[in-house]
Amino acid sequence: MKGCKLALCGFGIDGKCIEGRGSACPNLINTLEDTSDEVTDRAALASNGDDVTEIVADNANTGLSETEVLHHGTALEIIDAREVTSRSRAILVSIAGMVESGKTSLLARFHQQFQMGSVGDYEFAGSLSLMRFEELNWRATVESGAHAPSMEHTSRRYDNSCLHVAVSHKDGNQPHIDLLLNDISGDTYPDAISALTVCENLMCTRRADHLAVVVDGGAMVDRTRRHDHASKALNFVNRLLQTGQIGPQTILHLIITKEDELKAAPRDSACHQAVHHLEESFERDFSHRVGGLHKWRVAARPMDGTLPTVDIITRLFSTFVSTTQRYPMPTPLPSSTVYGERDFSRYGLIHGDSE
Amino acid sequence: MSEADYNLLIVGLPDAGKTSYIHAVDDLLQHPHTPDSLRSHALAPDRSYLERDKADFRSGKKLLHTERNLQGPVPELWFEDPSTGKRGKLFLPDVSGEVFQDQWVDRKWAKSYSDSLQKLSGILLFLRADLPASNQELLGELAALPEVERTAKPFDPRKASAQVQLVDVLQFIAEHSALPTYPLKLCVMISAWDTVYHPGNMQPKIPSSFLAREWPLLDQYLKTNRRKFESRIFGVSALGGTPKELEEHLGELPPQQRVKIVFGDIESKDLTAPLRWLLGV
Ligand SMILES: Nc1nc2c(ncn2[C@@H]2O[C@H](COP(=O)(O)OP(=O)(O)OP(=O)(O)O)[C@@H](O)[C@H]2O)c(=O)[nH]1
Ligand SMILES: Nc1nc2c(ncn2[C@@H]2O[C@H](COP(=O)(O)OP(=O)(O)OP(=O)(O)O)[C@@H](O)[C@H]2O)c(=O)[nH]1
Ligand SMILES: [Mg+2]
Ligand SMILES: [Mg+2]
Repeated sequence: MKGCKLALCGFGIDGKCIEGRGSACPNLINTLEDTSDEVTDRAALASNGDDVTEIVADNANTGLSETEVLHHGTALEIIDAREVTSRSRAILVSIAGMVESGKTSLLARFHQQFQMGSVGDYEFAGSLSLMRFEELNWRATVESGAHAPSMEHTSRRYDNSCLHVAVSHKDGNQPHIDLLLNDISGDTYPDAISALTVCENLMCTRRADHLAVVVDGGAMVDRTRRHDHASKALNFVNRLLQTGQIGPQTILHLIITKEDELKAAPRDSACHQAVHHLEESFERDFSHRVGGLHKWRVAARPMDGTLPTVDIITRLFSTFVSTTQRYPMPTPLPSSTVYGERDFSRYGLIHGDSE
Repeated sequence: MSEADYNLLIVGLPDAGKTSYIHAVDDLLQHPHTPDSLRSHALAPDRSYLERDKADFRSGKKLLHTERNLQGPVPELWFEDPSTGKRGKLFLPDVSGEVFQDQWVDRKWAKSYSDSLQKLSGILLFLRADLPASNQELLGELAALPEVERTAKPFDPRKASAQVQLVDVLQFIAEHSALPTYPLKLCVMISAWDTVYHPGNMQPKIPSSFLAREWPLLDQYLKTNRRKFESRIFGVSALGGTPKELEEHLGELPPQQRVKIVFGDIESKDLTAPLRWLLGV
């Protein structure tokens, strides 16, 4: 079984490489055998990016029958995501914001909506992350026994991984579009503002067609958090512009979440002005520096039962899938390029690397 | 006359109606409904698996849950098409629904299973008309349930939405195996179809509309993956009614007269219609 030399990396636990290099990472070392931890083995095997299904001895059952490992169903490491971007028209969305701002809830709702039908003009065409989506949504189902929806905190381990869903336009005959959803932990977000190196390690942002900055509407209602949350949103975008991770190739979204909490505040209260002001600042400071700017107010999991959610989430999803500054695609680079962020951006999508 | 072997895969989660259909088709081949219907021309040498539960099936008793590691020969039906004289041997392995659920949970399958996919003539995918496709979201009014005595249980993959599990089982087949042909023919078999006619049931009575409304994720997946799966959607009643109805009055009728199958808006008793399409006979 393999583990990682780096103390921070959880590869030995769940097969997720902190640097997003999967099983090709040079930091991997062989650790002591631990055949009891089948899940760990499975994840490690499954994250190696190989197309070929792997064969392992089935020690759980008879000890005789051979089994083959299938796709793991969780978030894709960069190396697996690269496979997706290389095989089809793929759209990558990076989503970032403070802890508990509602990022994962929003992404999880996409999966829920497809379970009810098509989302706008897009039909579900497959997903390599179905298990993860179901896990994320579990605590927002009646069957879980919860009395109100809740969501697990997203670990930093997912910073360089992507949830996957493939869609197809209702018109038919068009190839599938692979959507990769990169959910950056709320723990990382302020650190990326504090430290350039942390920001630069957010590798998916370089390939992102869309960067969605999420601001917690509930925090905007709270005088003690409002100013910090608003400033951090601006700082985060500035940081990414400064490093060249985003730019004219990126479509920027400002998403104010938990609209139910915002709406509950009196209309003339300072929080509405603050939200309005933040939206204006995004327009003023960034609209000319990025490939497009969208502003949204959503409630992905409102506690107020009356607020509709489907229409706005449909429009957001459709905008993600249907707009990009990166297509028509340049000719793909040869597949022998090196691993890492450049390799991931195989369509020459890093700023200044155009054909 | 040539006799070909046909291997079908019957896919479905536990309790989807798979075993009931195998028994019903077996009985129907022995009691063909019309002069043109596919019929049995002889009994396969080993019918031990089918005969074991036959009496229970015919009397309308609840069938035992199919075990995971079934030993012994696969149910085999010998059929003939009276109009062409063409004969064939149909192999219908009765795979336990738990096998497919295990694939979803454990993210692996037996190599022997994946080898068997290379010989497939088609797939019969079962789901129950009277069971929900998805877990219920805590949205709208449900977002604030009374707090009393409700504590969230940890996530158990077996409790994930049924249509999500089924889609992944199909993705496993599409992505991890070398199928004999593309697209592979697949019949969606909406079992317990008799329940959609229950008084007050507002569900669509046309199977394709039913699937689109009640199992949308699966429906979309099949529509957008026509290169992998060519599908037809049937409503099937292999038992003819619920266990209660069978006990009350339906059990008086012989099994082959209780059955019903619906394709589009056409209703018949010929449960072999999906097989004809899959096998091209
Ligand atoms: N009132 C309200 N609460 C919401 C809404 N959307 C999400 N929440 C709740 O906000 C909490 C945090 O949501 P998450 O989706 O986990 O937030 P996150 O941004 O992913 O947080 P981290 O993973 O910690 O970075 C959860 O308990 C959600 O149920 C909303 O629209 N309204
Ligand atoms: N109303 C009605 N119910 C049916 C019909 N067919 C199956 N059922 C119900 O579905 C249950 C399960 O049927 P089985 O055929 O045993 O299901 P299975 O897919 O073989 O299940 P496993 O062996 O557990 O994988 C039965 O006990 C019935 O309650 C039908 O035609 N009508
Ligand atoms: Mg999160
Ligand atoms: Mg059975």
